[in-house]
Amino acid sequence: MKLLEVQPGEQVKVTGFEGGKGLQAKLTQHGIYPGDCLRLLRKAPLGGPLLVEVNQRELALGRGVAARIIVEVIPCESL
Amino acid sequence: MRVALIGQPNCGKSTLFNQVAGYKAETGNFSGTTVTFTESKVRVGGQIVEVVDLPGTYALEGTNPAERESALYLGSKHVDVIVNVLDATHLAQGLELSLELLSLKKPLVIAMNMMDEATRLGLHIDGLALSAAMGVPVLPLVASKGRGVKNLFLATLEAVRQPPDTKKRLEIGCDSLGRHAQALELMERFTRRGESRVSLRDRLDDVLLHSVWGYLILLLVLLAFFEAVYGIGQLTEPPLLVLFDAITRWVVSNTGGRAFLGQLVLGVMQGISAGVAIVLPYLLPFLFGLGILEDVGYLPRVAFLMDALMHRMGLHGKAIVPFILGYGCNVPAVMATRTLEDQRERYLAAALATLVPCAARLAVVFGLVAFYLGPLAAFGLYVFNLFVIALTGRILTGLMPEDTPGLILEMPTYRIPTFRNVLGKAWFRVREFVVEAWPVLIAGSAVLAILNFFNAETFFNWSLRPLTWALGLPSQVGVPLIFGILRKELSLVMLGQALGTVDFASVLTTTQMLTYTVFVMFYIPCLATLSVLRRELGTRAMLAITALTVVVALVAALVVRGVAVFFL
Repeated sequence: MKLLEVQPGEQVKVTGFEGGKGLQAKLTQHGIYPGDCLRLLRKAPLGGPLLVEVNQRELALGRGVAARIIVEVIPCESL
Repeated sequence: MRVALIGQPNCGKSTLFNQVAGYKAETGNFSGTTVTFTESKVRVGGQIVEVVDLPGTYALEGTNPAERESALYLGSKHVDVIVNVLDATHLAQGLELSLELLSLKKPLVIAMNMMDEATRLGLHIDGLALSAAMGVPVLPLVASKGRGVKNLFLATLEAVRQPPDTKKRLEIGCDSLGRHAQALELMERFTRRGESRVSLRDRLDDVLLHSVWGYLILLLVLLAFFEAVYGIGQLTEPPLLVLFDAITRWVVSNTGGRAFLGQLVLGVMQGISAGVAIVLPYLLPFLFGLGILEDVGYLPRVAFLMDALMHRMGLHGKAIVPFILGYGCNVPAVMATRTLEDQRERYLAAALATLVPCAARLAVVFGLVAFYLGPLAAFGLYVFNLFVIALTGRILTGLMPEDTPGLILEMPTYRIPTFRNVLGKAWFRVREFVVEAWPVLIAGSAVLAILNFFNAETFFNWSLRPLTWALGLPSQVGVPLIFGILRKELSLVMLGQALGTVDFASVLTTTQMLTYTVFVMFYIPCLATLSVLRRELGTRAMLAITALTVVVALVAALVVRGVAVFFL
């Protein structure tokens, strides 16, 4: 399942990325790695970005980016 | 001796730098404020030390031009000691860069910044144990309040005096995934989570990022900001104008009236009074307010709210930073496009940012439109400006289509701005006006007086006549438009001289004022912006953007003229 399909409030675990090396490098630089737990906080309206919490930080991710993050719904203890 | 400050974006490097060097570097509560390095000599413990503030970087192998600058600097210049600034509230993230820095085998000191916020969040960090585990000194710091700065620099000197035993340092993972795990592990081991006293942020964001209230509040914030700037300017401008008018008349009557010297003095005096009486009353409150908005951390929220709209212009929300900086001055706005990874996106953002009315053009809008037609008319012009920028972006995106990768932007915590920092920042920007723009204003005003005296301005006015005719403006506005390329304030200051009065309502119709202001809002960037465009993007891009602004200005002004003629 993709991060884009997650509902606000849900917790998920990142399992991988789709797309090129560039995007992957950018995501890891901002501290999102496979295995990390995310919580979707909110979605901006009209195709706006998603706000996620990861490792006690908040990141805004555009929908294009969120569509390339593969996640699974697993209860995470680290959040 | 050279000390390099390095850290991830928005961890407070520039705030620390300003604490020791005086306000010399731009700061703001969002990532990407610093895009180039600033150096300063500082006295620490009786020794002269050179401190360098580097742009924030998430990792040494950065992907955007601003980040690469940091890595390049550390690699090429002679750096004696690295001070790695960490945001204590985001320890795991920051440590990833620290681990990379450990491998450089240079003296390294870790400054654990924002300790006050960490305490508020209920985080307890065992700095001593962390220091022992990593093999480098770790010092607590609250840069915004100046706490721990002295100890940090003493420890830094000590680290140079006793070169580190790099063998005692932590073995680090060889790839980024390894370092990520290691950083998380270090954080788990040395921090304890106590009772957190937050959730204020969540509650604030529930409102400020709400899909209805968020936009309503954004509009209200901008409107309030606008009204405040206008109110303060309105209160201070007229008495200052009266005062300077009296002084000017007195000086001119004592230097020979209509003779050459008298006219020259009149020109100089008009330049001086324009700076004090027209520009500063609006510039000061504007810069002060912008500083507060920047430091609170509201701007990234604006980026979040506006990302969808920006996408339609072919940009993503991150490009909002150059945009907002553009309202202060286009020069830092163009420089801030360095935080964008994609070259195409940089061109687009720089082109659109030059259409944002900077503080100098704000003086024209307020001195002309707001003063004579009221603040709502001025606000309307700003909204119109946004609309034109959006439309231009839309068209340009159609011409150079490409898939933008999308937004990845860190949301900082809200912070209460310190008075000292906001004031320092406003002063830093005002000083730029006083030192760089004002002399040009005065000189330009004097040159125009000379031109006037020898009737040479008719040539310029004649050569611009096709343009001014098309816009339905008097031919005398040609000279102010040409000089406006030097400094945008000149298009207002010299307008008074060109028309022979500062009571613009008596010589210009409402339609003419609107048309003139709209044209000034968009046409050719000022000299400083042109030179930064050339430096950042090359001569061709500079010329292309200049041509674009002329076309946009002409079309927008004609539309406004047409609409105004129809309705007024």
